[in-house]
Amino acid sequence: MHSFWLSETCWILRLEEAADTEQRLRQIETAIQQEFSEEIVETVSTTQSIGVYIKPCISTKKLEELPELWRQLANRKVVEQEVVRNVIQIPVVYGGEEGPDLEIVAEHAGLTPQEVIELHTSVIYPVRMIGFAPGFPYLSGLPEAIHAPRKTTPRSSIPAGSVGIAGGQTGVYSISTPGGWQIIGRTTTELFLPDQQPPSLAQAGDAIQFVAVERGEEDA
Amino acid sequence: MLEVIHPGPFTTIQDLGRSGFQRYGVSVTGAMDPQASSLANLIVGNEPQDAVLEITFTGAKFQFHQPTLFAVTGADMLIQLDGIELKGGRPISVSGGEVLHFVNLRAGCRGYLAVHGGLEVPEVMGSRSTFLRAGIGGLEGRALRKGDKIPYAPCGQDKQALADWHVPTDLWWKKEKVRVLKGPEVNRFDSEQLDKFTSEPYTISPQSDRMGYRLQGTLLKSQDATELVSEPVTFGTIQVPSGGEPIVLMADRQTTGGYPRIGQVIQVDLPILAQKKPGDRVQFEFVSLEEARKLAAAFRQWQQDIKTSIEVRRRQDAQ
Repeated sequence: MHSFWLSETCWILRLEEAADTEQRLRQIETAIQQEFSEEIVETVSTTQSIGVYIKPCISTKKLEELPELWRQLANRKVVEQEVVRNVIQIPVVYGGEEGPDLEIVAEHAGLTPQEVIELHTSVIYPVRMIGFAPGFPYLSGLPEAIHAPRKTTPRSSIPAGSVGIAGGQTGVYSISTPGGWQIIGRTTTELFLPDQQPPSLAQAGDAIQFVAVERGEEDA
Repeated sequence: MLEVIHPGPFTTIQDLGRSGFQRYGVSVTGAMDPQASSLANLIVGNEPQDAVLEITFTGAKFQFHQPTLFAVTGADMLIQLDGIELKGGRPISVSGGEVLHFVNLRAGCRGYLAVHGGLEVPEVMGSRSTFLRAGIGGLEGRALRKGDKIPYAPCGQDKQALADWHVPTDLWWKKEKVRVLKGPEVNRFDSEQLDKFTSEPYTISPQSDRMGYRLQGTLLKSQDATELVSEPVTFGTIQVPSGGEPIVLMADRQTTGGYPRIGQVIQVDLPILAQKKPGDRVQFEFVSLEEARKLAAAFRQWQQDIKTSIEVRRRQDAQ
């Protein structure tokens, strides 16, 4: 476990990668949110770390005391719980205009496009974090056979809903943005929901399963 | 209602940002120079977090359609109300019909226009800040265009009077030296690289915007190329991608990042960067966390003092 201040008011705790990292992070984050709601603005968790944003009005003395309390909290024993994931099914039109890089990924893998689709839809992917863009899920568990390098030159604009692969990661572009992932398909499911609370369809701890559909069948 | 006669190159509605949603990947956004936007609000009797216009560069023109009290802070700009030059940092009342023109920029980059009661656009996730990439907040989630009409509550002061007081608006940003904390990955750079980082000035590149500033100058070589896992980043985090050109993350920054973080701009020096435009130079200097916190506390005290004296003046004006 390693912890440090990123800024005057942002403190980061990083855990070593271990089998229970995901569960441990969730429990530490929940405990900090519940026990320190007076002192903090918000927390942000990534696959191995938690960032804690502290209210700027908190006194310097208090700021210096908080990390020790949080380290103690982080050292509490992880409560063994069966991981129950909320599985979100996302219909995807693979290939063609929606997935211009499907052929590239297939070629890189030495597979047919259909085999890539079958592999990509065969896994229930845990959502490790939401980051990079609003509602953008970082998913783990992509089958190794379809790992693929990023594009050498990023596209200047990728449409919202694009499903991509970058190295061993897969994810969905929740908003239209520049990006370098290999795009293999697209969904009409909206992942960023600015009018809802929470504003993200997927949360860290959920899971996503992609389902191959034909164009026009997305909502069926 | 405030009508946009000319939006200038880039004008958006901002407040002090949308916090509480970073865990969902939602950028904080908000005023690039929060000191200036807060001050503009205080001058017209608002709360520091009320919604204001952030006006980049110059050329913008607005017409007030109802009586209000307004103030301009931030960049050093020549501003005219119906063709008459005005000074920033003071409350100015209008009765409706007047045109405010941001004629030219002398120094800095971003001006802030606050009206009494704040700009009344709907809140999205607790904030009125425009988050351009996601298309939310502000006015329809976008930069202002000619003909846009932004509501505000008329404040009833119909006398065209100029207050006889003003507050300084450029004390905290007219500087070149930007102080930074050592970043979490500072050890990826050897002492020679760190000397270069702090001894030679960097120029703000044209590829700079509200999300981040790319810096031109000495390229920095990391001695460890191991991929990092993404971790939280914040306003002022300085990342060094493999190309070696540092990038300072600004108000519209993403929530997490995976490049080595060489440093972190201290809070009180963020406005120095926010007021730099492409081609301007900055010089970095490392300071300790202890020093940064002392400076932040002193700045908060100064803001409190300004707030108190503005309140006193406003009460006197009302009599």
